[in-house]
This record gives sequence, C-alpha cells and structure tokens, in this order.
Amino acid sequence: MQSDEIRFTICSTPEAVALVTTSVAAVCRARGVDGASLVELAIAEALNNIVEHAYEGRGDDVIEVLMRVDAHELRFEIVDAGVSSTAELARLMSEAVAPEFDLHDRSTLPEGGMGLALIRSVMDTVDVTRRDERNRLLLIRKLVRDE
Amino acid sequence: MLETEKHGEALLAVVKERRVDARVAVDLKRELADAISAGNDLLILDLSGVDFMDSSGLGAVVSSLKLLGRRGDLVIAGAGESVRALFKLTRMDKVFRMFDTSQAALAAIAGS
Repeated sequence: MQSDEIRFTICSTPEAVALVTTSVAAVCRARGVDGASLVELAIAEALNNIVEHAYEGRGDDVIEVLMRVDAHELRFEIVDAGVSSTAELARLMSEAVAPEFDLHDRSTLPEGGMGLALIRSVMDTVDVTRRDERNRLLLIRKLVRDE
Repeated sequence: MLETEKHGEALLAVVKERRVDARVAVDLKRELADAISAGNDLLILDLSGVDFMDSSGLGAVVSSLKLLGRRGDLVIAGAGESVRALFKLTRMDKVFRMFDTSQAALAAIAGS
C-alpha cells in the first residue's frame, strides 16, 4: 500500500477541531484503518489541549496537522506556536494515567484531566518536542491488518 | 441541545447533538444543571443520537452526577460503540449505570 499524506491548517477553535477530527475519522474509515473512532477521540483530545492550554483559548492562532497513513502505521504531527510548555507537557505525557477516583464517592470523580491518558491509550508513540518556538506533538498508532 | 420528557419520577433527556465535544460541553453542563435545579433527581441521558463524545463532553455528564450527589442518579441510555469506548477507557462505565435503550432504563428504574 502506498503512503498517503493530508495536511490541515486550522484556527485554534473548537469548531475547527471538530472539522479536523471528523475528517481524520473519514480518512481512517476510507483506508480501512481499525479503530477510527478511537483515533478521532485521541486527535480531538490532543487538539483540545492545544486550544485550551498552549493557546489559552484565544481562538485566532494556527494549528497544523499532518496526517500520514501507510500499511504499517498512522502518523500525526501536530504543530502549534503556543506557550512553551514542552517540558511540562512531555512530563505529563510520559506519566499520564487516568485520574484516580473512588467508585463509591461521587465527589472524587474527575471532570477533566482525562485527555492525556486517553491519547496514550490509543497511540503507541506520544512524543513532544519544541523547536523554533513551536511545539511539535508526534502521535503514532501501529496498524494491524488481516491479510 | 436536550429534549426532555417526564416519565413518572424520571426525566428522560435526549441529546440532540451528534457530536458532544468542546464546542457544546458547556451547554450540556448548563442544561443538565438547570434540569437538576428544577427538582429532577432521576435523569436518563439518552445518547443514542450521539456518534462522537470527547472528554469535555464526558466531563459535563460527570459534573451533573456530582451535582446530584447522594440524593439522585443519572443513568446512560443508548450509547453507541464510540461513546461506550470513551466510558470504558475512563472507567466511567463502572460509575454510570448503562442501558441499551431508554425504554430499558425506564423499565429498570420503574422496577427499582
């Protein structure tokens, strides 16, 4: 199978995030990628994180998403020029586990902070780097195919 | 974004958005909070029309359960495959009672 690439450049708004994640899911389904809904979820969580934290909800900044799919893997590079939180984000990413809570005590239930753990549970590789004042998030999901 | 209908003690709230994400999470949270503050302690949230939910949407649902505290309950009905996957990955499938349809949820609640 050949490798296909698609590039999205969007504003940092929840509406634009919805457009990209819907498109990503459609590409996954068209290419027969297993777990399209999970990939959609992981990309939504990653982009929401950038909109809310790297760009602090301003809405007029740019996010670039490069999606590449071949026979072996689904690869995303997500680039933003938001605040430099790479060290912190890299630490959070490497440690991300689902928030702890007590099943029998509703007051302990998490209302947020679930995004990073969700990304990690869907993607095999999660890597954050910062270069030229840009944050670069690399996400890879290995593909399993029945052939 | 909610269409509500009272069934005895229970309020059936059907989500009319196909995507429950960061765009609409605040609206969902507010509409559920309004329903709870109007005196509804038993809610069935019908997600059968929802084909995508992210953690901000889930956060709005969790927030409503916390608002009910010990005095009530919120159960989930009709969640499709992708919504169920989100609940499972976050272990919220252990927190919320989940029913295949709102009819099944209503029957279970009437029987309890």
